[in-house]
Amino acid sequence: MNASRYLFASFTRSEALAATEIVVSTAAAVILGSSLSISWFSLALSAGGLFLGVFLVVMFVVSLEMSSKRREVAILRALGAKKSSLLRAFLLRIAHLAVGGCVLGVAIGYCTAMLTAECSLLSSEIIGFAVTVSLLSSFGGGAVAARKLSYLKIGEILRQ
Amino acid sequence: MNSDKPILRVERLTKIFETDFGKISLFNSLCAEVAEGEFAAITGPTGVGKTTLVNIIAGLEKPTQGSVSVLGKDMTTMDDDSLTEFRGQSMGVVFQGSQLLTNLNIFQNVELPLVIQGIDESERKRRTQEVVDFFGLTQKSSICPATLSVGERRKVAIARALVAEPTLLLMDEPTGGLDTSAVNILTPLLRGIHYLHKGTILMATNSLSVARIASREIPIMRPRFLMTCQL
Repeated sequence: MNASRYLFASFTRSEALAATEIVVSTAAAVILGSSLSISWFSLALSAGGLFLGVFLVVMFVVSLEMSSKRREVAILRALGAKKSSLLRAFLLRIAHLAVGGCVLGVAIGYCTAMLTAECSLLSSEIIGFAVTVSLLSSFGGGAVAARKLSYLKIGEILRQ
Repeated sequence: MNSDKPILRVERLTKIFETDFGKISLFNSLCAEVAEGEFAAITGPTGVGKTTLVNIIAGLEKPTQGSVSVLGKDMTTMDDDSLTEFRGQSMGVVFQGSQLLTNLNIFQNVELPLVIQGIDESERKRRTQEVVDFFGLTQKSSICPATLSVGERRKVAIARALVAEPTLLLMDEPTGGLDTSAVNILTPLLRGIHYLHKGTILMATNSLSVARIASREIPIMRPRFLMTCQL
């Protein structure tokens, strides 16, 4: 069952916020990684901070989505939809945000680095690192929030 | 149509709720059986726990004590995924507030249980169309539930519960919140459903006139207040 069709219509403002955070963090990581004047320690610290931001924002946005969709989730569960298919729908939504955000972030970071004389260390390894960490922190934040699905009290929600 | 084989067996059922003023005990060791093909009504005034009983039978809530068996399967001991699958395949539930998905049209709402069960599209559309036609919703099948009256929404909810041809149909206050004319339309429809559906129906209602269409009543006792003494 494709539960996404029944849970999500268009992208919300909070999802746009999460996507923006992923774009900015990925672009910043690419620019910082290719910079000549930054030490490894400063780079690790900055990247850690950026991706912690991604983790927290995605976790917050998915929590918000879960709260706003709890009635729909409860109806689908009551009609026989398995938890795994609903979880898949939420993870698919996060995947759309994360992949879209990463692609745009890399493009912005790459263009900025190419136009800046100081950013001459740009390499595929740096782009790969930024994308991997960005995807991991997005899915991490989303997965932590999506665990809430297991604790929904369907009977109580449908009574409201 | 009615055989003596029980589809539903409720044994020594009790549900205790904790409130700020102490504990409330519902059902107080309720025992009941509903036979195959029977149309039974759970009756009692508001607040006795009719909705809670429907939710427990549907496996949406757990009782504090006792057990509920549907088709010989103990609903209180099944794990979450097996319970969800069993509910989807064997039960149709009509919730008190209809509970339709507002982003889907009437046809898609009715079709939903078949989508969840993975029935192929042509068979799904055929069965949904049959039920939509039976409930007289053909003209409105492409509109959203928000534009329907409460009575029509209730019809959609009953149609959705019936589309997968469940063995046990549970209805929680199908006429609750409806005006007299809507009740007068829905009551013969419920009789018709029992005649055509041929399955077992359990309906919770606080209306005596609606309960009369069922072949048997299961009255629920008033809840007991379990006082807690604080020293």
